[in-house]
Amino acid sequence: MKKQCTKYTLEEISRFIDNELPQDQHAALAKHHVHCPYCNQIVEQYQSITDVYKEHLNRIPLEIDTLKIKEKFGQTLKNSKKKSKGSMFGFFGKYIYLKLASITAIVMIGLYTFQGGFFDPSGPSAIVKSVDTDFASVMIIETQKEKHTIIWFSET
Amino acid sequence: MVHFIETIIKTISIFTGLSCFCLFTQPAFAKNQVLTDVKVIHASTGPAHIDPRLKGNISELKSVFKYTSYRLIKDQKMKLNFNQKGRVILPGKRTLVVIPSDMNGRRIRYQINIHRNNHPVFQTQVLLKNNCSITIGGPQFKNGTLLFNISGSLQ
Amino acid sequence: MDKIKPNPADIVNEQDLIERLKKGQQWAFNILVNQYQDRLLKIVYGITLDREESLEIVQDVFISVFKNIHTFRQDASLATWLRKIAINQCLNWKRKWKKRFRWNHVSLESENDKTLFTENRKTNDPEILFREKQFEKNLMEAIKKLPEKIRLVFVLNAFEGLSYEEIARTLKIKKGTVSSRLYFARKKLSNSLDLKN
Repeated sequence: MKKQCTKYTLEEISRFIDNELPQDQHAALAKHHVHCPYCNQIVEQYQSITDVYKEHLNRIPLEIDTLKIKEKFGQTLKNSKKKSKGSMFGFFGKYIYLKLASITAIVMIGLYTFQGGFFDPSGPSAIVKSVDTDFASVMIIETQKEKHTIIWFSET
Repeated sequence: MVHFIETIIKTISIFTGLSCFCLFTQPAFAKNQVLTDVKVIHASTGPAHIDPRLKGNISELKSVFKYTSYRLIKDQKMKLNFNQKGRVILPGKRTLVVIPSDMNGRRIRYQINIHRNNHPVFQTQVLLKNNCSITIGGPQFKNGTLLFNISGSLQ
Repeated sequence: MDKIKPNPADIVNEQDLIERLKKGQQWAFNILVNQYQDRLLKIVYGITLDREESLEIVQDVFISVFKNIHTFRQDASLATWLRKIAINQCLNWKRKWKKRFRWNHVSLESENDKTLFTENRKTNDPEILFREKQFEKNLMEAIKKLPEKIRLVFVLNAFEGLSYEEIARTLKIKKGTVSSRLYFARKKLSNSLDLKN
């Protein structure tokens, strides 16, 4: 190994190789390493590591078995079709909240149409809030069956 | 195909959702008219007679009163806006005035006044269930009693 | 390091491919596999250094892409997206990384090496060839010993030629971290090679 250079750190040389130094620093190091045996050695070593590694990967004979992937893919498609069919038409699954909302809406529309109103108030047909009269007696009656309200007064 | 069905379901859901919204908010958007029907009934203990036009109301009245005869003297239907007066001329120089004022939940607030010789003799404020009626009675009239059946229906 | 710039014609083709994949066309899937398998296999192999695992992972990547193509927002190229998925798949196989690597002994006299060693070599001097092979062998041994985080950054830089910025975005780390990891990788590898020499 050549005599160590103190002008640039090894990390700076690493970044120099990747063109990640600021432009002026890059230019300065480019000029420097040509004349500095130590920095030159480091640059060459780092670059050869990258080059040899890249070459090695490119030479690896790797190829996907397309038949195998088609089989695997076909199986996955079948499973996902089953899932989506099931979830589409089954109650639980996709769009569950949408389905619930639709059912609720349909039921409410049905109730409204056939029963003439949402949440009809319970209780008598009329709630008497106030009575103001000169008559001697006033009675408020509610029939048993239909809860029909009757206000009865006597003029005498 | 699946995508098409999903689109249909989404469309139906949105449509029903919007319909529900309109139905729920319909009272707010409505013209606020109340169809008020005032039936003036002459009830007496004379020969048994039930006016066929009273069939809907009679069973309840019969459960309370001992009258044997119920005759419909007048049936006046009025489409009233809120705070609009509806006037019904009654026998014996009487007048019935009904004023729907507003909604209290699903009940129509009515002010009901009875005047005799232009003097108020009876005033009441009631909360009438939509599409239901109240019966008020009864001033004496021709050997019988007058009953006023007032029903309201929000339009 | 040269960055590979996309050809305008390729971009149009990529758009077409994506549209067809979204429509679920089998033909498009075949194109996808043919176009990208080589690159992805190399990246994944660079990370896992395991042949069988690399094949499995890349198969899963393609299946995952075809299933989830509708989630591809096209804010980056298809290649970038595939790379990200491949890296994530590799990281998910982390369990298998922890075990001791089998050293796949490649004979110096293997057939592959023979054919490849006759091309692109400036010399046919047996001694030089042997030294080069030894260097490569030692280098791969040293790379296997690198921590996985370091190796991942090294692969993306060395093989894919990605900038620090691109690596940082892909792995969701800081640019400074990329720089220090790359430096660490090179320092470690150099030291290992120096010792062997």
